[in-house]
Amino acid sequence: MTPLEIALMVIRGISTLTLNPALGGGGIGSARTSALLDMLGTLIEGGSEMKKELDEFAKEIQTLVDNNGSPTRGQWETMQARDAAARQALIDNAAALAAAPAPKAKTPK
Amino acid sequence: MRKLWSLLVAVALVGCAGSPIQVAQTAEQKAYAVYGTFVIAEEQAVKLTAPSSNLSPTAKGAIIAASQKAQPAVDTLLNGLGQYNTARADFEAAKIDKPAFQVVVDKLGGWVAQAQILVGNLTVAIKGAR
Repeated sequence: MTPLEIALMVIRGISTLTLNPALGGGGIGSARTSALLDMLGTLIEGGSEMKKELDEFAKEIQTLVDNNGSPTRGQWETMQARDAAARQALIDNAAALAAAPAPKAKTPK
Repeated sequence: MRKLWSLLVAVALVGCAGSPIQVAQTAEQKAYAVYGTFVIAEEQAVKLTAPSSNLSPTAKGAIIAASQKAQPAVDTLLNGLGQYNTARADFEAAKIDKPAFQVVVDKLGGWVAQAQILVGNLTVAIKGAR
């Protein structure tokens, strides 16, 4: 298990514990803490996944270097297709974000 | 949360030994490495900003803005690569001489460096977007 995976497990565990009334959690503050920890876990998970992909991509580049070669037309076209799909997905996500209802304002105490 | 995302992206894109960009040697390999690194980061941005993601709307907005901010530099790199490929074909067909071809190679190197800065500095773009 990598250090990142261990950190992720700990964070997810803390997030669960903060919501457990039997352990003193479960209040409004705990819910917010748990949500923040979940977000932190999501970001770490995303970073770990990205690192794995980059490591694989680095091997692809290393193969090019070892063969003193250039990326093929197929490699470029594959990357451009992924880029186009990702850009469209980001546009869709941005539209969904804009259409999402605004979070309720906190009631002042 | 912003600083954490910045740290994660910085570590993943630039801080790791043996990253695609560090491994690449020729101008074309570097262009491909920078472009591929950007695409991988972009795909992660898609997952993190999806409606099903539990990130806050603010964090999602910052990530989307950062990705869109880096796109023009990547597009310039791709345009430069097109010019490089044309020049290489002309050079191989003896239509242009080596000094003329080298000018295009150097230009591509410049565009690669600019795009690399933006991709590697995605953290700065995220801060500025907010």
